Amino acid sequence: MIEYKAFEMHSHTFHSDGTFSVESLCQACKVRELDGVALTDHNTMSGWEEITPALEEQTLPVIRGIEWTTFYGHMLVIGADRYVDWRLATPENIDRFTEAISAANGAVGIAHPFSLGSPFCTGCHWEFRVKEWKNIHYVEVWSGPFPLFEPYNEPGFQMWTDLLNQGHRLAASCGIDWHENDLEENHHMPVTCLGVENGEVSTRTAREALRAGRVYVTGGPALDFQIEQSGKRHGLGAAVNSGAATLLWGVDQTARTSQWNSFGLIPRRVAFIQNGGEVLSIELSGQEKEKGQTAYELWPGWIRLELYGDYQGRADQLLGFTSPIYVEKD
Amino acid sequence: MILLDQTILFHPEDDKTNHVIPFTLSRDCVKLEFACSYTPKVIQDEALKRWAVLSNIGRYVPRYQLPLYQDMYDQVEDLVNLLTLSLDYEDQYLGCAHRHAPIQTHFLSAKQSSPGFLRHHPAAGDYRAVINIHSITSPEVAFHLVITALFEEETV
Ligand SMILES: [Zn+2]
Ligand SMILES: [Zn+2]
Repeated sequence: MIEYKAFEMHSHTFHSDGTFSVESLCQACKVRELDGVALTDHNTMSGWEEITPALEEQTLPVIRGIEWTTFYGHMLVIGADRYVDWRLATPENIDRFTEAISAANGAVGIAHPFSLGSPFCTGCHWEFRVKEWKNIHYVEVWSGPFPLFEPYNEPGFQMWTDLLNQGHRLAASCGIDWHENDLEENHHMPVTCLGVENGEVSTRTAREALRAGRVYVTGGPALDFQIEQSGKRHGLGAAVNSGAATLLWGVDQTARTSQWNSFGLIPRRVAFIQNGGEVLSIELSGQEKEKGQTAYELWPGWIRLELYGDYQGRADQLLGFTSPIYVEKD
Repeated sequence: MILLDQTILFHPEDDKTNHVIPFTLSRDCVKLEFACSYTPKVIQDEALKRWAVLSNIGRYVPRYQLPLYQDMYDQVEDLVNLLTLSLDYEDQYLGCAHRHAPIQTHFLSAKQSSPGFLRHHPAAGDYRAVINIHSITSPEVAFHLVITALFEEETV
């Protein structure tokens, strides 16, 4: 049984260039009603030594990660069983390293691919020439304190869509890239939701969700997207066959409501995006919990759900999106 | 006991490379200290800063978004060089101090290490101090590293 839980997937402490302690980061995440936080300090795991059962008990589970802060791009590495050295990665040899991380059961995510690189933010722009996409599991398409408005997230989102259209299987995540407790309490914070086994939040279940593509991003309500085919239901990251299918969707506005309902965020419609194009749009009635199903003829490729609505006075803004369900030729 | 006291000069051609400084600890100690400093941190030369900003922005921003960044030169307050220190013991990576301050002191010990580094009993053996040259815009950057080993008798 898969249950989706809310995470902040990109954070730093004074073990690298943040001002958070591990403990104060956890406290801040608890205030945000998160179910887990990924600790991803730049090039170090030393913060993990501060993760204790007592701390996790009092605050929330901490996912062990690291942000590979290389000269040619930043990469989130979640839950790898062993350390792989970041220092020798070059644009041409990156596949060898993502392969090693993946072999160690780590989940690999491209962080903020369209951030400015050196000399503005050193190595922040993704310049690796990846040939083996199977060892990269997700792209952080929403990044920064205001992910819905950061201009660099737009090409990052497009990059993800382009990669899907080239046939690669990649989930997508959001990360505040939280360094210090400088966000006011009323700062809107979108989250990454991971589908974890039996609702258990741990480094192992988080990395497995990322690797399997059971990931969605939301600025507000909880999302659900499944496909029913031949009497079987398939969730995010799964593969179905082309042809007749039923799209099952849900929008739950009772999830973490106090964290987003004061930001003028009003869900209006869900859209289904197949192979980059919007193929279906369904108006929402505004009920707290809404779900529906629609018969649909699937083309080979991929399909994801996107949530649109009002946001801070602007109409028809992207408020959330799922990772894809893949469609194979029947 | 001072194990190493070295100043290394780096230039733009060293950008995006690692400079490895191997050293050996001949007997166990209780604490290894690393005093690092580099200069310059901030690029003061306005012409150089202007050139660095304008000649790089197009590499990262899609053409259709360039108008959003047209005031970039005015927005960039400080353009900096960034060099960090990472450490290894034998085949083990001990961590890195990825932060911007140009003067930093780090240490390794069994009880606690400074932020960025794993707890490590400084046993005898081969170590590597690795300077990670993330970004050099200045014509020359001088990095000063002093490695000190503290032995039991010195701390009592
Ligand atoms: Zn940082
Ligand atoms: Zn980063």
